[in-house]
Amino acid sequence: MTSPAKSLTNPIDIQALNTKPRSLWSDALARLRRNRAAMVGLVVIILYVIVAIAAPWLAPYNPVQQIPNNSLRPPAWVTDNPARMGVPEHLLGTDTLGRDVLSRLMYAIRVSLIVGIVPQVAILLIGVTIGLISGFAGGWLDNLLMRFTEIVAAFPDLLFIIALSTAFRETWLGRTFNGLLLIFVAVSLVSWTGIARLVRGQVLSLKEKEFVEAARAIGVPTAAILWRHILPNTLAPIIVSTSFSIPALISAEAVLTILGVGMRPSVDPDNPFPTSLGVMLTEGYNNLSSGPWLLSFPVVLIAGLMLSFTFLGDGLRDALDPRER
Amino acid sequence: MTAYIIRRILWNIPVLIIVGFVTFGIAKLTPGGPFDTQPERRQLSPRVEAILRERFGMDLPFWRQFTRYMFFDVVPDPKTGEWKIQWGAIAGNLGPTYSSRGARTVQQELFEGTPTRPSKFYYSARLGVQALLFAVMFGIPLGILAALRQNTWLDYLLSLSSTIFVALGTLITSLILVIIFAVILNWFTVIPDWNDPVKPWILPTVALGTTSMAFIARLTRSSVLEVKRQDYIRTAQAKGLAGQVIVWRHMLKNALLPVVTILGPALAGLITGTLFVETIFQVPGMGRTFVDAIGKRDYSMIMAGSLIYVFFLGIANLLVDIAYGVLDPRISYK
Repeated sequence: MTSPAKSLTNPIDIQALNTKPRSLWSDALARLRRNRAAMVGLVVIILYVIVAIAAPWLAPYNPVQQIPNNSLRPPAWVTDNPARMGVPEHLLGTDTLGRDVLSRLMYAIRVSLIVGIVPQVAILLIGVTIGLISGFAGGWLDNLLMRFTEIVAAFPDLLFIIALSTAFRETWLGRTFNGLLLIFVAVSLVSWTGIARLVRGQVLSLKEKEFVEAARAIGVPTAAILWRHILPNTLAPIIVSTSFSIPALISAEAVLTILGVGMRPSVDPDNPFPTSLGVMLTEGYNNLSSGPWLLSFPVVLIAGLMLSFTFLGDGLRDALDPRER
Repeated sequence: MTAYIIRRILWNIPVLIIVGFVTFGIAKLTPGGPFDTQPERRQLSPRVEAILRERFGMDLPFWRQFTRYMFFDVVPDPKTGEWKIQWGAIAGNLGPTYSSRGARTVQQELFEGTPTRPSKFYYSARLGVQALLFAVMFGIPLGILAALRQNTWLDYLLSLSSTIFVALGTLITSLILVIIFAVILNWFTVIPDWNDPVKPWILPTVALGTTSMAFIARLTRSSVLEVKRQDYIRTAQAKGLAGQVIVWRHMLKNALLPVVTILGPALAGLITGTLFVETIFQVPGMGRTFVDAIGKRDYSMIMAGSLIYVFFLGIANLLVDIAYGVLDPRISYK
């Protein structure tokens, strides 16, 4: 008969004790690495980020420079029309004003990435705060905050964003950063409800757990319980929801710009953010019959960006969901 | 159940009022008014403008203008001078359109059509209903098909494409459809001919419905897979029921329940989607009118836009809730 203590002398068991303990996060990372679609998404996102940062060095032309007698040139490989041939100097052709499409696309990616990320930070700040307070406090405060959330969620969000964008378009808010600041504010104000509900639901179940009770029993202050014990446990669903929210934000900018209340294109050659994928989609849509490539390239780029975030999000959800294990 | 329905209907009233109030506030905060959106190109003499402002009550205090629009106000009759109650939005009076200088009301502008030229509401409602039918009629069968052929190439193909279309959203899907069918294949003209009863509707319907269809297909698939693992399915198989009977009578009836719940969010997506799908495919519906109204500072039309959207969303969600309660006997509303 072997006692438990004696069985530890078995070399295999000792080896098991010596291996490093694996955390949820390192486990999740390992699972994410095995997900091919998610890794492709991640690599594509990194490529977009590199192009966005390095646009001034990568772009062959200044994105707002109008080259005379060079308008509406098709992509370089289209050579069937001798009157309007593609030339290798403009790989993806030129637009109606003779600006190089490839250079414009590189700069546009910058803005679209920022549009996906900056409002998301604001959404997280508002949504997580309200969700944490609502779920942890309970009672009348919870009731009040949730009614408020419900009303904001009942707003026809797109109509509200359009109204806000129109209302403040001619003020300083609407002029700052080519109108992008106004888009950030308008979108953030109505988009936090989902994350608030998500976090509240998580907190409601977490605060009944033993580890929270234990923390309270040894006298950890409420703020520290929220910050150190509850918030880290809600991170997984927040990360997943973020990666699905970013493509929605990128598309929201495009929707607003197509409706004429989004970003204003800049003609200033020194502006580091002269155009966005939304602006290019709008310009392409307006010149659909004369230059179909003007719509096709931005559509492909924006679709690639949105799909990459979605595949990464799918991978993160599978990797972080403890039920899968 | 009845008490629940009544409570839900009553809850929509404060929501409508608050949404109306915020919309009114934003509309009034917008610099410029309906008669001077571009001050440098003003077309009205100050005297005419003063008369119009008086007639629309634009010089009244903000709260009074709001209550006049939403509820009622006591105004003198222009002909007899008698004081009478003028009802507002709660009685279905959505106000005069400022862009017509009050010659037409919003409800005339949106809901009145002629036999040759249907109303704006008709275009939007028809587009929305068609898109929803398209989404349900294709989404559910495709989802079932994927689940019944789980882990075959067909399942992978359907799952991948539904993930892609959900991710792309309505705008990018619309633009891709435009590129493929209107530019490359040239099957549809970019400027539609609305006298044709079928052709101009196809692209906008598919564009608006595809995201919801993909969403429904994905949910149906996972729901069928969930039901497939249940004990009662194994029981049915064990007692020797034919495969078809199991699928139709035992599996689908239970699997389609969760699908009903997402019809609410799907409808919300369809309704906001009309705003830009109508712009892209040049549908002469309400969505475009509302977007234009914001630019023209047509206060009544802006208000009507918000209220109508919130109203229909409220009804849609209520219907979904009721349908769910009726279909699933396990659910009881308190």
